[in-house]
Amino acid sequence: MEQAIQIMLIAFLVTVVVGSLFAVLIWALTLLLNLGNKNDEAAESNQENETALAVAVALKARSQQNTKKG
Amino acid sequence: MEFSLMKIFQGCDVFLYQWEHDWSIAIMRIVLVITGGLMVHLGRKGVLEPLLMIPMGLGISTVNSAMMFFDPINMAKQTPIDSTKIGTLFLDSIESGHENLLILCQIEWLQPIYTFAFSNGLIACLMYVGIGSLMDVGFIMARPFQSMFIAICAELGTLLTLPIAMLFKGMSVGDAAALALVGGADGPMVLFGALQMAPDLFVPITVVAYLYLALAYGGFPYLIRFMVPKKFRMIEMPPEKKVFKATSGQKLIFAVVMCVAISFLFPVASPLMFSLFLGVAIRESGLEKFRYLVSEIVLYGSTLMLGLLLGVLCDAKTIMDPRVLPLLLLGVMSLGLSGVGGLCGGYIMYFITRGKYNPVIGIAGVSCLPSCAKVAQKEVSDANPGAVVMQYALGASISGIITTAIIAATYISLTQ
Repeated sequence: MEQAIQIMLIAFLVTVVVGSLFAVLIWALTLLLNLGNKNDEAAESNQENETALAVAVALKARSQQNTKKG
Repeated sequence: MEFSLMKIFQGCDVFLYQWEHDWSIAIMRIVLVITGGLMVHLGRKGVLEPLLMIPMGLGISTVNSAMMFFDPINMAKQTPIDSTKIGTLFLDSIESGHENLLILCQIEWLQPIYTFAFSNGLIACLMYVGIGSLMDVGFIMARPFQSMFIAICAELGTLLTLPIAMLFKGMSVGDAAALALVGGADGPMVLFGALQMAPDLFVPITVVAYLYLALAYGGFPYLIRFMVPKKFRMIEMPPEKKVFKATSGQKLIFAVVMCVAISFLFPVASPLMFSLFLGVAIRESGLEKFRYLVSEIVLYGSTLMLGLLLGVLCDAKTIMDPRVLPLLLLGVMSLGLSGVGGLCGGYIMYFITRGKYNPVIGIAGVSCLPSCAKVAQKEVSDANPGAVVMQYALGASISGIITTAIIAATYISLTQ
């Protein structure tokens, strides 16, 4: 009986400690993955901006050329 | 030529023999035949889990009908036959000698599946691969602390049943620990734990566990209605401001990290955890052909075989074993206590969040994926059709698998 109570208490403590650690691990992992996501999004957004800028510059140059020709 | 009707209708001969020598077994056979039929009926009606109950019920009815005078080992060895030995053509769960097992595998039709897939836990692992392929780990990633807290509370039965079971005479710590795992409501885990901790009681514990898991589907709604008044059941969960929505790649990383972490800490639970996360990995890596194989064929094939084997293991002699009655009582107590613990966890969350948490979600912590989550959602929908708690319940259920694995591994390590 005493042994059973000891095993139960140890199992309870192990579950609480390891369960909490797993929760922290999942939270940290999620945070990291989320951060990675945001960096990817930011990089993607920068790339899109750069492309848009390059297109705008090219269009402007072409328009200026057309004006000169005209 | 000698002619006897009893020799033609062997079943009647066996029944009369049992009636004369041990009438309680004969009565129990009749009770089990009726019980099996009732299980099929309740499964068909959806009161009990139909996927398990229909093959199991039919198996119970049939195995208790199909008894005959049968001594396969002596018959095969051509040694003197025991003409009063009663058996079936289904399987023999007691025989463990290698030579005899080989003989039985050639005679009893379910013996190969029992010996090579059931008694070594393979069927449990196959089921876990299938469950993993249906499991969306995004729910636990979105709310890890909440889910884990509920799951720990829902292990009340798994923890308390261990010392309570020791009060019963003749029960060892290993037997008590294996039985206590019923409270984790995780069939494959009970099968695996019983195999490791209580090989002598492996068959009755597994049968009791699966019987109660199917009953949980029908019994937990009453426990919820008893413990949670309607005004609490109808609470709507507030809209979450920032919920992390994981991509497939992120879920795959999660599965790998968790599988490695759990296997590293608890190697005894690694076959099951590996199987579970293998299913998750297949699901998240977009291997559609593998996913179809494990989620449709492997999972349902294993469930059918499991139900069938559990049914045919329920013969009158096994059920009449004096060690089975305490198992039946303790099993239901373990599962009931876990349900109570989960709901108490739900109430604690309700008070912590100042009324912004539906306590019914607590029942889902008793893993039994996805039955308990479905029960929670059904009870909440009955009280308030607009309330949705499924995503919270599934998170708690997935955490329940992890906490049961932790307790099972601790029990196995400490009792061996």
